[in-house]
Amino acid sequence: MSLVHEDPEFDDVLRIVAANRRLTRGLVEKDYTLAISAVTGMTSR
Amino acid sequence: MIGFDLALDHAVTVPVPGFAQTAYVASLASLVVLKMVAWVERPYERKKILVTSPSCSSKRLRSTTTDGGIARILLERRSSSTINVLPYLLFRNKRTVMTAPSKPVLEPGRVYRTRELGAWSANPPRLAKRLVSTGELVPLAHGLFARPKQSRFGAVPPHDEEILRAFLGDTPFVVTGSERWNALGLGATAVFASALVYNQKRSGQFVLGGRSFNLRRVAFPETPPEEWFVIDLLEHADQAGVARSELASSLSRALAVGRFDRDRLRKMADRYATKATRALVESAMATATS
Repeated sequence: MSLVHEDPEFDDVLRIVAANRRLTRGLVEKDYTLAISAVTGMTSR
Repeated sequence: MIGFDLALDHAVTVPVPGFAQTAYVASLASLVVLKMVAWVERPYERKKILVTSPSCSSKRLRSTTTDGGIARILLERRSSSTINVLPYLLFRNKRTVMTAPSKPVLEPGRVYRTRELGAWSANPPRLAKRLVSTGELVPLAHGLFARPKQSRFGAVPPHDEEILRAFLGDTPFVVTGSERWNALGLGATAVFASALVYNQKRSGQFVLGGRSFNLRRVAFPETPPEEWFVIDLLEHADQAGVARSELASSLSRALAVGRFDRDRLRKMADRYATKATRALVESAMATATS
């Protein structure tokens, strides 16, 4: 399975989402990291 | 040229209050006609002209928005100055010098100040307004515009550093705060809503392009090493949500495995830390050695 953070333009995605949601890039990245950890944790079980 | 002829041929004499002299100024009728001609030439750049021009005083002129309407009013006035410009307004058969709109080469992802657009236009604010209306520039704040970079996912906003570079006029600055502190691996995990920026020009909270920046005028190295961020984190332990004692323990463990350069850490502490932080750093270094 290919994940978004493996894309070379992942940083662009973070900045687009941050601008649209009016959040810092760091918050978006942290949210993504937590979400992806939960998803990959679930699939690995 | 028609404009000059009109203004000069129909100048009126106006007494200067308090002096014996008089001055020649363009008549109100000339100004109204010139404003209308300007509007007819570039209506997309002159949306307010019928509101700001002297024509506001006349209900009939205020409602005029078409060539035919202008011509009707001019014909009704029957003045020699209007007759001079009628062929242009009605048939556009006068020779006029029309400059093509400038097409500046803007770098995607770069942030521009209005004055930088002066390289392509004698009137940078007007050029900026046109480029915003065509979508070539995106306004970030007053006098600050970004040329968006296109990606597969859409228009990408500019980097924080690029916004700050333009906003602070190419003066030195450093972006610090939660992202840099958390990356040190000393136990800080909190994330701030706004970036902390040390600089030499501005202080306060600023929102640029929808992003919040907390600007502070404090001393900082122009190219800060990682050890400087350690000192910065220790100085802001309460904001980072970590106890100073916990940070000292983590720093001690990191130093023991050679994570940071001791000499550089001491140098940064001597230059940028308070007395209490210097003592904390010395204590961490001593614990790491023993």
